[in-house]
Amino acid sequence: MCEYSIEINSMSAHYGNGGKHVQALKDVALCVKRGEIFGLLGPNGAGKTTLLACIEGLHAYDTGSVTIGGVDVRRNTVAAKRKLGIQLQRAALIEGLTAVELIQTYAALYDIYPTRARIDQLLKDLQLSDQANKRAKQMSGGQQQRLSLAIAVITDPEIVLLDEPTEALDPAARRYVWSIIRSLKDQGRTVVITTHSMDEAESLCGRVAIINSGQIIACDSPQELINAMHVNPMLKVRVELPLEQVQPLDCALSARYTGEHLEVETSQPIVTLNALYQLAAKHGRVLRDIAIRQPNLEDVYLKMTGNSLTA
Amino acid sequence: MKRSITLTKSLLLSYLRDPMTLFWNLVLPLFLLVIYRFVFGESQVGGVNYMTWVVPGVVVLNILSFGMIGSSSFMSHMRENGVLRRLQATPVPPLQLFGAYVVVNMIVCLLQIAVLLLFAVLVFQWPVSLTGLLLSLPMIFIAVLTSVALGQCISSLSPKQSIALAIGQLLYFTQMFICGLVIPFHILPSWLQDFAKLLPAYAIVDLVRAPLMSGALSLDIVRNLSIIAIYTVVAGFVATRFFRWQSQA
Repeated sequence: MCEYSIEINSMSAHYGNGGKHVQALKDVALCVKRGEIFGLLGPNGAGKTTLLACIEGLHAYDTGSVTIGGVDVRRNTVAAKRKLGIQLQRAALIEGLTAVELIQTYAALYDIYPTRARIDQLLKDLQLSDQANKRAKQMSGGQQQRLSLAIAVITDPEIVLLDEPTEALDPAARRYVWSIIRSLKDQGRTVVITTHSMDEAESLCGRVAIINSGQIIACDSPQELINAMHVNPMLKVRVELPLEQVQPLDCALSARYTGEHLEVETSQPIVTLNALYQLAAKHGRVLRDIAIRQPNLEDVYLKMTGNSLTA
Repeated sequence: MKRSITLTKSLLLSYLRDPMTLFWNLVLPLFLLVIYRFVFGESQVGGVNYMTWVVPGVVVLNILSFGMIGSSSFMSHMRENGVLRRLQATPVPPLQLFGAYVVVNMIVCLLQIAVLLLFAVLVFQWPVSLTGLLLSLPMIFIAVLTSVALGQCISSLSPKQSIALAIGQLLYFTQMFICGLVIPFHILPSWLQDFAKLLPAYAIVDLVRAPLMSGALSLDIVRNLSIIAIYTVVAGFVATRFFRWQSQA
């Protein structure tokens, strides 16, 4: 059995033709290990969905290779698709069919015919028992997301690909989906998710690849990425001060505004905080909501690209 | 085989549970027949009672609306809301998917024609012979294929469902009035008749009306079958060539 569930070598892909030609992915190389939760992290338009579409056999890549469980996607698309459970960004369920009918239909497309007991158990696991005979149209966005997760796993796939599985969900629904994703890993499946939420990537994923402008700029565990980039703690304060005067303060390495908050990367938070007090006093300002937070993936991304993930 | 049956059943359920499908394909044709009965019920076309003459025309109208508006719009809608993309992600071969779709189209269309004819017989005592019905069946079958091919051609070429709907309706209404479906053909100017004779609806209505009214195949069967064969092949080719799994970004 090969160590990797997904192997991508020097893969490039584009969409559009002529004047609308967009190079979506450039020379992507990636390995997803068997049984891990792997995150594709990047802002909107970075190429996450296109990368997933290339793995799913939905988008033809120009160069390189993609293999799924040892099967080449281009040479044997059908066999590759059989190994995957897929949830697309949009739930995209056939209208007019009930939850049970949808699960039966999509399973049948894989030549799998689950018993009603198995479907009921799956719906129960996803807290959808009361929706079994409801049509997809009558369900909330969160319920549709969970139903498409049910459709993705009913075929018992080795690998589950989830494109922004918690997009537009409320915090409680989001955490519930996280618990489902963890249970998929516990069942021995490999899970790949795309997200532009750093906390989602940090709390769920064993490893993440950061994508920017169609290129993978880093790939490791969230903590290793943070350690490797030598990102320092962040001093977070609500105050209005000129950035050019904050940047030269003692031990301050960089400074930026996120909303109303000034964030200063510092090697010595207390020293910088002291200097910040003095600067604020000079401007007749007061420091509010002072916090020191540990660096996260957003900081790594910012340091690597100069852009915010959520921008 | 089991996969095809499940897929066909699901698409059929989806079709039949759509209130718009039920309205356009079942309610509207019956309503049209009632209107025609009250407006033109007493008039004659070529020595035949108008209602006897118009029922096959409404059957063809249904075939056209089903293919060029219903089937086209349904496919465009599936493309627009991402269902096609989701189906593409499964291992089902495209040919099997489209086969199921055509079978569903055929079932729904034949069902609606059966309801329409039954209604005409029961309510308007529309005269029909078993021979006429049996002879018309293969013609109707071919006509549905042509209409669905034309509809899929429209769907493949239209960037959006609303555009597919507009093109379908334009072609439908034009042919409805100039191809002798519900308005007698001979009252049209000769140049328009010459043009209309090249349209699929003219050929279809001739092929369907002859057996349903006289219990015999059309005298122009070779010419008209050839015309709709050309339309079916060309439309089918264009539909396949320009088929897209998802809406253009």
